[in-house]
Amino acid sequence: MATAAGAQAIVGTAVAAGAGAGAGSGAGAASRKPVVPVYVSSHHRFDTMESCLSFLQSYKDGIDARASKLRASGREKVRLSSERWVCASWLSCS
Amino acid sequence: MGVCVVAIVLIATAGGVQVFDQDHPVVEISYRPPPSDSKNGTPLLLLGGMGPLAGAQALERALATLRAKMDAGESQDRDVILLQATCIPDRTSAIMASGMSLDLTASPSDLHSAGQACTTHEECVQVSHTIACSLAAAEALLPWEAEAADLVVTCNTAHFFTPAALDMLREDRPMAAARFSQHSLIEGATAAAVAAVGGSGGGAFIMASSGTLMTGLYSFGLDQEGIKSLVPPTPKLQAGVMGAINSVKGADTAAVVAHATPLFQALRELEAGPPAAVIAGCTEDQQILATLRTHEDVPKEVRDFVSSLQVIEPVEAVFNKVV
Repeated sequence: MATAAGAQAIVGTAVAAGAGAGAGSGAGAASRKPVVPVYVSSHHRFDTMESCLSFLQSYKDGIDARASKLRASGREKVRLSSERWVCASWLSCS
Repeated sequence: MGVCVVAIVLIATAGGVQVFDQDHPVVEISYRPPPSDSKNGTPLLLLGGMGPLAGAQALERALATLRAKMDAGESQDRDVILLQATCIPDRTSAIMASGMSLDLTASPSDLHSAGQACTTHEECVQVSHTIACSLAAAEALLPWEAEAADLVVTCNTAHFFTPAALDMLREDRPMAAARFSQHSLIEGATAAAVAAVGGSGGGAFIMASSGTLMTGLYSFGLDQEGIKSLVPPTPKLQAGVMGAINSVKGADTAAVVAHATPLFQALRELEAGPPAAVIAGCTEDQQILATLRTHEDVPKEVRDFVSSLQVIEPVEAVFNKVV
């Protein structure tokens, strides 16, 4: 069993500091676009838990069906070897 | 070493068509009970969609926890809002694209240093930016009268990018950012691990995406608490974890079994004995473990072994405190 040992820093604090620096002063900050809300294609709002849970079941079935259809279609997958999956919205990725 | 390991990780998904989170639309699903005097005015906001099945399951779990706590008189009814932000780019791919590689023997401090260097890379900034844009959309879903919202990002690897995303949001939309009070899956699960195995001398096995392992998200905190973090013994077995995660996204149960079974066979046969606890450090793990416990193609001894493990589910750990 591989073991990760010997830490010298707390991850939450350390990563937050590093990421914050990246956002605020790193190379990425200079080139990044402004923060604009992504497009939400549909809204499903329920005033009872039962109706929400019922919808969730059909939603999950829909996810499975969509995924199975995609797999069955034989669509050429986006190759991970490119490792450049950086689309900003669902529409631009499809 | 790095290139070799990356190649192995890729093999896990090269066998067929892969289904991505981005294959699904961005949607809101929310429970919004009618106004009442007893209603909690602080909504619970779940940023999900990574992947969409895991996000939906997180909402189900949040509602179940809320119902149980309301029945026990411990919580008030409240809005629970899920934004399925499937637009957020693949987290592990971005981390790998930044030049990081999987080293299962690296110390948490080394992982931390490598992670810091990664955060300013183009792909990582892009992920953080898309999370920020998703949070901006999520903030617009909050009731206008809610001054604040409890935020749970239901993807472990996304926690690597969330601090930068919140910084971006604060910079461009400070009023929106000020409404969020984030509750970390990493911190919640680490606290649960401490409660479960602290002082026993046993280790916590981290079942997570390669991105989560590469950036030491869990191993740092566990190490600070004096808990030994355990990871898959070989890159091939970690590739199996990634394959199983991607198979959940692709609704391919047979592939989940094929990818994940060898890891638990290996854990079962460890000379040192099984880990004291398993941190289900990827939101797809819930589905993977449920499949391994029940699927008839999984050897009975593995089904029994998985059923016997003490599993820490980060989403559950956080909901128990926040809901």
